[in-house]
Amino acid sequence: MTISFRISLICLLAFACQLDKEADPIPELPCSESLENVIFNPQPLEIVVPDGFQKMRIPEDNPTTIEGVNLGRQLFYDPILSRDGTISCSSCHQISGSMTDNRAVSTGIENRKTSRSSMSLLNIGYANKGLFWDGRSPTLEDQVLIPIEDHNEMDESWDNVEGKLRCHPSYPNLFRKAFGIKNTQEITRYLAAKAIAQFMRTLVSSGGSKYDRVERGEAFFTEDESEGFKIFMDAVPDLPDAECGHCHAPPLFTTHDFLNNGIDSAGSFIDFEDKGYGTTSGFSQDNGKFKVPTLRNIFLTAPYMHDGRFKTVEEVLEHYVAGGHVSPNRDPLIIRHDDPTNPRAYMNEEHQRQLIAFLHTLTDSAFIEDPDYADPF
Amino acid sequence: MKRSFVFLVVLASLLSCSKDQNDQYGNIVLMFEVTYNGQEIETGQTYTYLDGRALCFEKFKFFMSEVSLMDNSSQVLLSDVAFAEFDRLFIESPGGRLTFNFSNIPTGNYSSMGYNIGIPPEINDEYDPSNFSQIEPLGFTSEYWDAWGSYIFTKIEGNIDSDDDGICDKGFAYHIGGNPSLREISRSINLSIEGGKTAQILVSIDLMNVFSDGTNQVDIVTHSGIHNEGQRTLMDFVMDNLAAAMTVSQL
Repeated sequence: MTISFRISLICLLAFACQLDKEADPIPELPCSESLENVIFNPQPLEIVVPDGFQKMRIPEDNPTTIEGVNLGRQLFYDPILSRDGTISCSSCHQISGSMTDNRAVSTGIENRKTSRSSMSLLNIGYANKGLFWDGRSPTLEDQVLIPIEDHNEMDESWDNVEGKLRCHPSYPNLFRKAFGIKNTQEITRYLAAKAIAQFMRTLVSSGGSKYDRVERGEAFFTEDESEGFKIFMDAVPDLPDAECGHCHAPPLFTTHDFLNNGIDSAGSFIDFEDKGYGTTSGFSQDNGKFKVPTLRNIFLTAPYMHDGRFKTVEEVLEHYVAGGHVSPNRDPLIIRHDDPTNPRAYMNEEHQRQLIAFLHTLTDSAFIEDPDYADPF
Repeated sequence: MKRSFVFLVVLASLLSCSKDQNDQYGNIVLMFEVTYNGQEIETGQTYTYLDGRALCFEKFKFFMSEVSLMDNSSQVLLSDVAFAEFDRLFIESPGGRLTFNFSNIPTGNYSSMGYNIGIPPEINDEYDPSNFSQIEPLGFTSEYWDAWGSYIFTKIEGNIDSDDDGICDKGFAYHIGGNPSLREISRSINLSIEGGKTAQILVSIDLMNVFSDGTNQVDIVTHSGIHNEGQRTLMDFVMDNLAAAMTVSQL
């Protein structure tokens, strides 16, 4: 009797479970809709660069198209990428700051602080030695994936972002137009990254800076600017050599290398507080090295260095004139320029003023006013 | 039957092509190793300069052009322009070798190999990085010096002890370019390229010999920077020594 009751009870429970199981609707993927009625006909977009610039290499698996750039631009400016909908790429890369945020370190959601200053994205399509101050991402497409899931930046998961984009009223069509996907479910983080990377590659100098116009023979430097250029480039032996042009080589005014510019003291390779590129490469000799930023629009991108420690260009120059701090891998080109007994290096106040006058010629107002780079919303 | 015959003919053709290719062409691995006074170079290590001062290395790189093999009657061009950069080797693999692989080299015996250190005038005068993409050696803006209108043929950078305390504390940077800096290298070899096989050539460079011709030596503390046409004598001294310092051997 007891055994029969138990068997009956078990059967009843099993039946009930079966009923429940049958009652559950078959789960459907949210926002799974065909997009095949949307025309897919992407138009190639040639990235026009100023005279004297290299040919920008475009990855074969992510050719630039009008539709891809349009999608990337909208994603770049859309806070949908962040967990609470408050932060977009453009929060830290504002066009008015030549694609920086003009803060010492960037601010993420809930006012969280990152450890690094946002880098200028001007001419970022040329960066081929690693992105971020520490070079941790090899490509633009790879770099785009990082800030979304960084706790101090957007703190969102890509799974959620993909869900939000698939259910969005307009993004599915834009993905279709850019990449030819057939269903909203085909929207992925990788396509989003490709689109944003395409937009970022279009962030190219206008060629309208005074420096560029002088290079083309359309304008002339003032005497101070001319002397400053010679000092910058070590163009003549009777002026000091400021050693700037090695790492800030024209026309991009960066080599994209990772170097220790003497901003921190360290007794050994392992003594750097922020190890920078060493964290990425895994070699202690790379500790304390950071990506060389562009000097184009330098007067629009304050503050300076990876942690924004210098508020003005004058402070930066003061650092370099003093020769920087000693460490075992301080770059050989970071040398003292404050010794009057060494005229090839000595930078007096007039030389410094002339150098700064030249740096002003790198300001590209047309870039920050270009409507193609502005917030589309 | 007919289909089988066609298939066999095609297969036989493919095999014979492949065999011909193997018979007629071989490969070369061109390797470079860089030392200082016979010691492997590692970033962060201290070496003793000719004047007894502590010396440390950070960078060494140079352009090669017209890399060629010669026999008695003809020349085989292996590469128009190549860039030899040792900076990462000094960090990641001290004592390691930088390698360049060349394939489809006609079989035969070669009596010499040669290349230029630097970029020949017909390229150097006509082109700059804007004519290339950022991933091609001639597109590297870091290796072009606007003020000269020239590629930087070679760079040697490091630090030297300037105050006799044994610590490498003063940077030196030798950036040498301009057409007069071009140096032609030609070395006798007795190289047999066999079909389908790979021959190895090793170029060894001892940087100590770059700073000295055996009689005179560079005072690095006094001449810590070379990147100005006004230093032509010093540029030529270093380039002559660099050319002489390259020894070729077959492995």
